[in-house]
Amino acid sequence: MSMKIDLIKHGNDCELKMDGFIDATNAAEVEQVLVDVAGKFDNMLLDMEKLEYVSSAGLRAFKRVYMELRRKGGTLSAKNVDKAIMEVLEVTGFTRLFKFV
Amino acid sequence: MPIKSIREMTQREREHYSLEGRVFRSIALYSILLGLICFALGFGMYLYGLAQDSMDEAADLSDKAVGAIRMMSQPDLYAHDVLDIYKQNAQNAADGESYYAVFDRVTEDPGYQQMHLILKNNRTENMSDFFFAVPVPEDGVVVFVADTDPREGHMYPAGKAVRFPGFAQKIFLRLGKGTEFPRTFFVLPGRGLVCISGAYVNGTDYTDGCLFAMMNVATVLKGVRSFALAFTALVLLVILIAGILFVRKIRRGVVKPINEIAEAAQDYVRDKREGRDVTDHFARLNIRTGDEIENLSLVMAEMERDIDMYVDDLTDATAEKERVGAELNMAAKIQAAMLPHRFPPYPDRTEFDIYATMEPAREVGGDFYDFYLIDDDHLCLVMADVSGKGVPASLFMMITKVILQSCGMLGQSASEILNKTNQALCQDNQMDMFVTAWIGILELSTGKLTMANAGHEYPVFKDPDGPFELFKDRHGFVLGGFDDEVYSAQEVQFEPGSKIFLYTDGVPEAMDPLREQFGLERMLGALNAQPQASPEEVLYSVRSAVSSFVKDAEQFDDITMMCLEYKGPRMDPEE
Repeated sequence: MSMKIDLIKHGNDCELKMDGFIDATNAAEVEQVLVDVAGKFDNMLLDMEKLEYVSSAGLRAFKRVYMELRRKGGTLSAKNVDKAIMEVLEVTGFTRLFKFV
Repeated sequence: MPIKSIREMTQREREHYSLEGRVFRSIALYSILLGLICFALGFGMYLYGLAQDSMDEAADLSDKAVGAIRMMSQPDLYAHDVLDIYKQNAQNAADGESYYAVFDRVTEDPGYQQMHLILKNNRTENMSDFFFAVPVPEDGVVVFVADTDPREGHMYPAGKAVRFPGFAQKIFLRLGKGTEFPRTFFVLPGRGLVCISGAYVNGTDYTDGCLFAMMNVATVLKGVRSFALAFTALVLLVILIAGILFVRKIRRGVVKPINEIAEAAQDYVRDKREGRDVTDHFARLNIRTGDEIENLSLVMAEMERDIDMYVDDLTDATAEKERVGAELNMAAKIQAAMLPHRFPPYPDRTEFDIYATMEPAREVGGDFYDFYLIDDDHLCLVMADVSGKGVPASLFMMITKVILQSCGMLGQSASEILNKTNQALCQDNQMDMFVTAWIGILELSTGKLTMANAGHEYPVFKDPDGPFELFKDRHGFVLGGFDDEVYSAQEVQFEPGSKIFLYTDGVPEAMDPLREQFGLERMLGALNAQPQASPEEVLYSVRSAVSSFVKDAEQFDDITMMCLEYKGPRMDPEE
């Protein structure tokens, strides 16, 4: 598996530790997991310390998670964002989806 | 094993390699072997029985003769006399005539002669020899008292000491032990099987002399031999007939059905190769042997049906795959034709030189570049990347390209083009697809470039005398994300010799087999290796740098690049 995700629950909020990368080969799968989790919690925090790489297909997953949380009035946060990934988020404008903590 | 198939063999080869032949040969061989063993065992047992009977007969005849001579004379006395004379004259035994003459005083006795006559009368046909003698174990000899051998010159005279051969030692060793006279049989050269036994003349004391009878078994066997030959011939005949019957059964029940199955298999392969639509090659054999061979034919019939079914499925799937492949091929051509692909695109325009390429990772891609003259003085440049790849991305790419161009041709500003396109794409964007796009409008007469960026990679600029450098322009969100997004524009001034290099993430994110990315640093390095190169050469050098970096790793994203060099305003020939 190119991506491993650990889920930590904090009441109605959750924290996801992402380990691996998201590209076109696994984006659909990762997206499904993230959106399913987003449907069950109010707020979601993504720990990107071990996230190596996100392709444009992976960004779509973030967008859908963001939309899912926003629909319920929740927030999407991120922490430990690697410089290369932050660059991708900045270039594409995706930084605005996240609250960086 | 034969190399040819059944069908290619001549009749002779078929017979040679056939099971029938093998079965017949092995049956014959094993039967003959078995017959020989049985025959040898039977004959051996018969001989043993015969030998026992002969030895019994030898003992009986000797007993009878002893009874007869004891009535008429005192044989033990003659034995003692001969033994005494032998012991006194043994050293002269080699003298012949004179030695034997010493025994005359015994042999001339009328009682002795009468005894000798009785012995001769008691001799029978199948006796090899019948004689009265005294064993002298310490000398390893028997000393003859009276012999009855009727052959001329073979009758031993009294006093003759004969060294017994090894086989007779048994007799010596057992003499005097028990009332039963010892017996044995052996094969004598020239006489065949010989049985020997005898009788004590007096009690069990062998020194009183013994009668020995040697029986010829060979004469008895003469009659048996012809019977044995006839019996053997009969057995061979029975084996032959049984073998032929068995081979016939094998041919009917094994060889023929197997050959039928083999031929059916060949027919099956041939029909398949020649494309004939014949089914049930094996099922129609209708083999009913009720054993493994019938089972084999049933299994083969089932296998044929399964293979036919599988081949049909495979044919359908292949046809479907070919259809999809042909369509994708067509789609790829359509897509490539949609992008400006003739260079130079405007041969009469001297203000700029442009070159662009798009290499999809699959047949069709989600990346695209575009450029077109909005009017005589404005050139519009577009570089965009749809999320994902393949057919879904290519569909979304086509609509994006058309909307961007429509808005562009209306003469709107770069930021306004992005605003409009974003709103259009956000409508009914159920699949949450999005596009990163960079758009720039170059005023050819002045060199002023107005640009807007919707989440796309930073453009690379080069001043006439400087190196290629990333230009970190202001970024809006990707197209298709939020319909209320407002994009802003930025301006830069180009001088004659300025260049701009645009690309999609397929370039910096190209990966080598160890998943390391090509990266912006390497990309800038490739660009600056030959800063004065033409746009076409620039693209070529970046592409070859990427190729040598990724080596044999699979291209996993579309790679799209565009480069423009501004040459300065048009020189009007009239001015």
